[in-house]
Amino acid sequence: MSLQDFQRALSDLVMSPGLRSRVAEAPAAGLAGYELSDQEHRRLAALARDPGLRTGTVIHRASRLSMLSNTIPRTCRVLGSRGLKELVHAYWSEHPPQSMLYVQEARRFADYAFARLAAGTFANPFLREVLEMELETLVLSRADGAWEPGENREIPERPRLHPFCRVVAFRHDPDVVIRTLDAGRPLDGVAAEERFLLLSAAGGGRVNLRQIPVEQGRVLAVCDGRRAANEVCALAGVAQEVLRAVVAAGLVV
Amino acid sequence: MTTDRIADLPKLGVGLSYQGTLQGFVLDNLASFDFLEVIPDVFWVDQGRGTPGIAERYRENRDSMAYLARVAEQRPVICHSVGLSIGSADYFDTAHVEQIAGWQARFGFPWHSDHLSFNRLEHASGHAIDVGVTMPVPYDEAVLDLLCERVDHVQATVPVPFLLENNVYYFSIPEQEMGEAEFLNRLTARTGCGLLLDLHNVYTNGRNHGFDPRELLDRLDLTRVVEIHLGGGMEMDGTYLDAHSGPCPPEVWTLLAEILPRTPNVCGVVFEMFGNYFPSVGPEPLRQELRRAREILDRRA
Repeated sequence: MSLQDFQRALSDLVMSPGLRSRVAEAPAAGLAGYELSDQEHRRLAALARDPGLRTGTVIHRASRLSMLSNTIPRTCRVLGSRGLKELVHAYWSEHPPQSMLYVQEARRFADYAFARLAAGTFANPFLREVLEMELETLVLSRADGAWEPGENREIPERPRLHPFCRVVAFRHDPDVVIRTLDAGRPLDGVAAEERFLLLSAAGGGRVNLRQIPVEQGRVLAVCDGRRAANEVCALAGVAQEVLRAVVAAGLVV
Repeated sequence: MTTDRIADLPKLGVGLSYQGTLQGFVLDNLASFDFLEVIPDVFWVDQGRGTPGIAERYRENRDSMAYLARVAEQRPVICHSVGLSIGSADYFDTAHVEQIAGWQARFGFPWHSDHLSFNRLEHASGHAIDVGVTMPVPYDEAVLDLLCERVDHVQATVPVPFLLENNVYYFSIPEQEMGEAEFLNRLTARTGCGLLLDLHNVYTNGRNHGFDPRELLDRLDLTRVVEIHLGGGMEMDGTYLDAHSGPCPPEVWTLLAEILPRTPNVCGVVFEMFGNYFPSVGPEPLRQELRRAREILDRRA
């Protein structure tokens, strides 16, 4: 138990500068939660004052941040350095790192960010749509095949979006948002308007993005394979011709 | 017996450490290296402990595996894992060892390696966590016993020699019962495992902790060294980082030239660079590092 707790305490000291300060100031109180031998206690108390531990923290954080910057880079740009720092530090303090799996970490961060947006404790008008787009891109980039346009077919009884496609609802023009982010410019002034982005797996890890008409986006967004065709159209508030068009395009199975 | 296994290993030559951004470079520059070293863990998604079945737990990426199979037809592939966390006190991941054994059967690598550190452990919340840092283990008798038992298990499960890499550390655990060289020597002597000597780690530790790398190298049993790692680093706030960020420092090339005549069982010298630095460093400097490693290795031969 002792070595186990020593490693747990040492890891906590690396991950948490706050704990490090508390242990440096008052080792007995700071390490009270760990079962340690006297020697381990002395070692950790000394390490808490070792500037090398700060380097450990920097590497730990860089490693953890790189999981996000590699998987959801546009989300990081949407947040900007200040917003990213605020959200990421809050996320880290509540969610210890579970693995070095980049996609899993991006999903955990996304769940946290969506919860903060829903609770109103964090605000950014572009965050939800860009983060959803990047999460769906991650899913499709690992798809076991590619989407190909289909031929005209009958509307299925319970329409379902093609498994190699995703639709993301935007509240701004996605082309403008993506172009602006990629150019490193701020998103201020991008007008709010309902738009939909279609993502399709292109094979080999590639994902194609293109805007689709709003009515098509609305209907595809509710094609979940559980609702009947007429229910889908009613829910989306569109005529059956719109559903017929997306079926003809091979977007629905 | 195990010493013989190390002495009989094939001398592969110069290796390149694989990163995702090097996919194109690897295929376009096969002549610049003799083998490719891969971190197998990036080719699968680990569903976590408790997942029944090795194939279910380690879901391999089809495209990445197809790429690796293509490379393996042309160059030997060596596994250098980051997933064992052999120094973790709370658990030993035998499923990971089985997965490596499966890869060995598939790719036929003559040796494999991991790090002498811990990075995975159970958090107070009950979740398994990964610190993302190769955390040092205390060089104590009890830790040595723990490691020897685990190395024995690895060697019994994977039918080729196993190497452990000396760690880079930015803080030094006080009151250790032995020094790094003694610990490594006793570990390799007791288990018969090999040593992956990361010279850039030794250089980094020496620079940050104020000792001459030769002091450590002179005390190490260099006959246990099967593979050598080279890499570059950078200075940050007065600390030199093993950042794998570019060319190898001249001092490390000098160390390589000095120790090669004393490492009779070295089979490979690998250059490591993190993939995110490749776009700015570019292909020619990478080829230069590989050429330089080959020149020094050839001089020894």
